Amino acid sequence: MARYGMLIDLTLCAQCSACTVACEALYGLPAGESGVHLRSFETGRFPAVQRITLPVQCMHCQEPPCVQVCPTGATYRDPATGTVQMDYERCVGCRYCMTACPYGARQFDEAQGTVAKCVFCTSRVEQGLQPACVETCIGQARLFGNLGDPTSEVSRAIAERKAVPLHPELGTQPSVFYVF
Amino acid sequence: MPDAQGLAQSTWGWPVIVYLFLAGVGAGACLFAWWAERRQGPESLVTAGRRLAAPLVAAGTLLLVFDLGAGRMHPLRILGLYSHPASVMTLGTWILSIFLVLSVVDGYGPLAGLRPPRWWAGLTALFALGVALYTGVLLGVVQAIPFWNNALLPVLFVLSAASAGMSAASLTALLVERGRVELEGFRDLHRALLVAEAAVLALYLYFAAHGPEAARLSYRLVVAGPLAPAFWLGLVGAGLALPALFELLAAPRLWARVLTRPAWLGLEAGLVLVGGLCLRLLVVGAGVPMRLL
Repeated sequence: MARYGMLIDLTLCAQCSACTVACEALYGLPAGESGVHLRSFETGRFPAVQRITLPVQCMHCQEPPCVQVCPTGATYRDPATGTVQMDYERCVGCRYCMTACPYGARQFDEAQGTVAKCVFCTSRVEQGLQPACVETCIGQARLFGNLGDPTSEVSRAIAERKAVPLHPELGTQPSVFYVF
Repeated sequence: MPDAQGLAQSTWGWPVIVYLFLAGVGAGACLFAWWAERRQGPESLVTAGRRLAAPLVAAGTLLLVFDLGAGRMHPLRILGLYSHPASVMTLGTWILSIFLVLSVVDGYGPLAGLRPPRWWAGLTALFALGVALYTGVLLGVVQAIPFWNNALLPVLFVLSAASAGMSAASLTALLVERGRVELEGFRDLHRALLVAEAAVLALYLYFAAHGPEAARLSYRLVVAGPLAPAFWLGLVGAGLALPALFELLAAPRLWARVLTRPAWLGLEAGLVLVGGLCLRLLVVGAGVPMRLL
């Protein structure tokens, strides 16, 4: 039982959008429907304010709210990889999952009438490749691996660099960790 | 749909708002018919409520189906909606389906010579309560949108559904009977529902105003943002304050002779319905997702 996970080190991220483009190119997605989006936030209170830009994608939660609300079971957690996957044949496009995702990581694919999101490139990973966004990242801000193995590179980096998930208080147990 | 300054969710729009309204009114009309029959209310009123239920809920359900993506392109997939009981939407699909069957027989069976057993109306009313409740639970369980994630929401939707359903039945009976319907016996219920809805609405908004950041933003959008006209004029004005004013003035003496005329009663019922639609517009339209950071 693996649990795929990712580290995104914002101190190494150049905000170049290569990850967004690589994802779109690999899956032939229309512009704006990539599995990864760069989003900017102003945080803090004057005078201690900062602007943070972070790549946002499916967090592959271990307790995913989208899976809970999906009325058809089209979105599900794959126990073999610990990832959240989509069965596009079952999705009716009700978009309940989009309202339920606290990370805004899901998009509606107008052409197919289904909801799309990052799938952690599981088909590439099975071939021994890295996810497209990880491979293309110029600053090597992304690390991908098995969170289930505490000795894996990604697990060690998360511990050493004190990486944190987004909204841990929701109990969703995301598998994407950020270094701020 | 007024754009709530780009802050509110835009995943669900008009079709969902109108569905929530129609399902609420239809379910409320059924509940009211059941109650009016037990109170020996006028037959025209009971019949109006019973016959409104199925078409209104069915029309709303059709809207939902047309709002689907792939489900509209591949209708067979819609059967999948029955398959995941952990989802409130699956529960709702079951409740809606059973209610539609029950309410068609309840409202239209007698026209086809069907005489359902006595318990049928009670069971239909029970599922009507289920329809009204689940619409609030559907939004209520969404943790990502704090304005929705409030246990008072299903209560608010049920009260509003009862009020709007009662008004729809009264309005229909008034039109069918050309104003000759005795509604006096239901004034107390109407007033109680108005007061209860206003109280729960105030509590609901009070908690939003004291909730997480996203809920506070929702509250601001409702009372002072682009949605404010729908709140102050539609929900508070038309839906609650004006009907309450009519009720106050209709207390014996002052204006009673004027305000108990069918045209006024019909107008009041219409205003309550406007309020019911505005409530759903506001709740859906002001749903601000929590910030990522």
